[in-house]
Amino acid sequence: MKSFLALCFVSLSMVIPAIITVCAADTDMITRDFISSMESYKNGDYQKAVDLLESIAARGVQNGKLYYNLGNAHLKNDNLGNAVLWYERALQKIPGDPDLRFNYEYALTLTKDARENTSFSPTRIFFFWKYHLSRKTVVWTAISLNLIVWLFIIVWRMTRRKGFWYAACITFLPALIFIATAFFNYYESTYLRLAIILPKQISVRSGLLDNSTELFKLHAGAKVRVVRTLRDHLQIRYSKDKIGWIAAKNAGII
Amino acid sequence: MQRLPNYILKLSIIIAVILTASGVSAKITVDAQVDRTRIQSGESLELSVTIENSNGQVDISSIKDFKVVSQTSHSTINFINGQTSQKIIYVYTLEPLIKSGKAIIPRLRVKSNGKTYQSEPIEILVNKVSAKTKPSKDLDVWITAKVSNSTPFTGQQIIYTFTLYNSVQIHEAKFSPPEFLGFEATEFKKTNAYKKIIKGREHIVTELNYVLIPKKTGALVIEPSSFNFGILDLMKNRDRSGRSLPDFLMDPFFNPRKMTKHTIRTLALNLTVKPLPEYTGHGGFSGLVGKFELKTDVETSNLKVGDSTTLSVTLKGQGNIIDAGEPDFKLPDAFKIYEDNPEEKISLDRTGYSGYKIFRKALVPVKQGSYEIRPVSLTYFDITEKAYKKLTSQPIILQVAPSQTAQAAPPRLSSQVSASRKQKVDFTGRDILPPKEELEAVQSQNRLSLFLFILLLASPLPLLAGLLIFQRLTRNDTRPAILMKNKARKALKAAINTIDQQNEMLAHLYQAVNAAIFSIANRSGEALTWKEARELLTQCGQPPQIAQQASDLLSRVESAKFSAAELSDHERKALTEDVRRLFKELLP
Repeated sequence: MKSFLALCFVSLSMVIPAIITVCAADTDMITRDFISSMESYKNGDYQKAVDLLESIAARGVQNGKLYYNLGNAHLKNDNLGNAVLWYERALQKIPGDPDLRFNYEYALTLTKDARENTSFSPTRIFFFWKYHLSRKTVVWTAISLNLIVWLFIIVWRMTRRKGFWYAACITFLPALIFIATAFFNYYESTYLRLAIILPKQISVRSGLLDNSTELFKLHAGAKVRVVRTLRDHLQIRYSKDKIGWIAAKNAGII
Repeated sequence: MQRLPNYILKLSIIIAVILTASGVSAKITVDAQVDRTRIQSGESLELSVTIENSNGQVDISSIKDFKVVSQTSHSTINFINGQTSQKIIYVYTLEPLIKSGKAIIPRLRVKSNGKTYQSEPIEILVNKVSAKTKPSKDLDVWITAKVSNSTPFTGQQIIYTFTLYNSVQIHEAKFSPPEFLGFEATEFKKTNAYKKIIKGREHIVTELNYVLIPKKTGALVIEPSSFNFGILDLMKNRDRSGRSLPDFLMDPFFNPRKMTKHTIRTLALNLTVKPLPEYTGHGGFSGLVGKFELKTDVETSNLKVGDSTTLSVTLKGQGNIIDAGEPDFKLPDAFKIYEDNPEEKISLDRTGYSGYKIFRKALVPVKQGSYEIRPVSLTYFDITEKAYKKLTSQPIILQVAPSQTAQAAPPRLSSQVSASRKQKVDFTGRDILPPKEELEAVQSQNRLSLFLFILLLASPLPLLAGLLIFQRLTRNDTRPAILMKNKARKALKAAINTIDQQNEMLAHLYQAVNAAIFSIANRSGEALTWKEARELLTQCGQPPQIAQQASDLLSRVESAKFSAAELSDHERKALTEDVRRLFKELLP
């Protein structure tokens, strides 16, 4: 038994430093790529900047600013569809970033398809915090408020002072709202998939075949809801009365 | 002839039916008559169908050679020598559909009480109107029609004038214009009326005008206009012997006058519409035909970046200006351009359409420099010169100085009156903001997984559960041993706190020692003797020396409590210390 434990200890003492070393090396490479991408961007080599930034994102880095930079590089590289896609992804991470908002609005002015006006929808008015706070902020606010509620309850149980009970009741409502919002965000990201049209123009057809009837056309940057996926095709809904099929490669899931 | 109100006709028919049913008069006859049997093409005649003693309807669907222009009816009931008769008279105005020859009014059928009655057929001779026939100025009423130009170009506006001359009073006049096939026709609403002496007689001359724009080329015919009117017959103001009648007999009340209806027509007008010559010039042809002028103007030619000025292009003239579109502007890229609604004033008079259109654009320079607004050109077909003519405006030079504020002002359109001095700030250029270069951008912001989120939400629950368990355990323990143990400790604590007050201290110590012994015995109680204490402890398995020590201590406390001797501080502390030591032995 002792020899087994000793073997484990020796193995771990060798593997853990190796993992740490690999991770550190990868981090260094990501940093170098990022710096190179910024230099390429400044030099006008937007395609190279796109390649480098997308390689960073492909390595699992999820960062709103990285996505913002990707949107910028795509837009400069005359790739409106991808630009809007990455801006949309960035908005989920840093929705309040003014630079992002500005560039996103500018990109939208370049799109051709009229979007449904959702600025004054009842959902946006009654659940305004959902659209102004990042998902991360909502999650941690929910956890914090939940903890505060329970702490108030515990203290009240210990001291039997009514003030703590009232404080717990007051904190309970916002905690509940943020917990519900966080759960909805999880549901939304898992089941309510949105996508951006990537090519300059595509035909939305009645079926999966190329010779299916063309129902309508969409252009780069158009935002659609993915209804379902079938054999490398997406059934998308653009508006209440416009639904059809496109090849999956023509849309980027946000 | 005026149409009778329906209810009178219906009432007559009802009476007639009643009378017919009563057998007062039973013979039913149908008779058709015309006011004349010779007419000229274009004239009309009156057909009267009289039905006696029946309320049947006349079937006029068999009339093929005539067009029924109008229809009236009236009825009469006569009582003559005790005999009653009733008549319904239908009057039709007919126009022949043939130019010349015989036209037939066939037998007209009337159905009554299941039987069919017929009138006799009538032959009408229609004479062709001679093209050379001209309205005679010897007549009391005549009409003419003419066009201002019988060989216009397509798109050229011409005037069709219908003129009525009458030297007698006419009634119930009705003018029926032609359809103007091949033309776009607009009536000039204002009629022109004046008096004119023709062959020594005063005539009233009334002119109606239409503006016609030919839409087809080649030979076009404007069909005759027709004019219906009535003239009251001249009254005979002399009797058979030639004597003049008294004036009061000339009053219409005593001498009702009959009105004779007439229909006259103008001649058809033959026009030859010429196509526009082939356009071979540069630039597009605007489609305008007439006579036009073009002028460009700018509000101010010295500007600063962000200022606004208005460029106006005025198209003015006579012709189909109503069809004029915006000329092609070629403006420098250094200007932002804002459209303004065109202003137009087009009037229609006896010479046709004329007026102007002003096209405006607000220009906002975004760069300094000197810029030329190229001449605006427009090609139209000049009807006086019978050739295409290109209008070209003068070039305009705009001097743009740098802005002091470097802010572009919004357009200020000349047709708008600005109520406020505040101006909307517009973009003068568009670009995206730069990338975020901080290395923070590569730090992953992975979202908390749903599982971890739920775990963190639930984390306070074990803490609360532990507390509840602890409270439950401590609050509900009612065993005598625990209760007495707590009581003993509380009493000892109180004794230590009241060490300066001997009686209270001794009372607490006495209570503490008793409670400690009862706790060991798992019993409740208040007081013990030292013997009871020793026996109790011994029975509970305590070592004899502990039992003896406890009984001795109880005895000492009891003696001190109930004796009047004052204990010194040292003695009090020693006694308290002994009790504490006993507690350590008994209540670890």
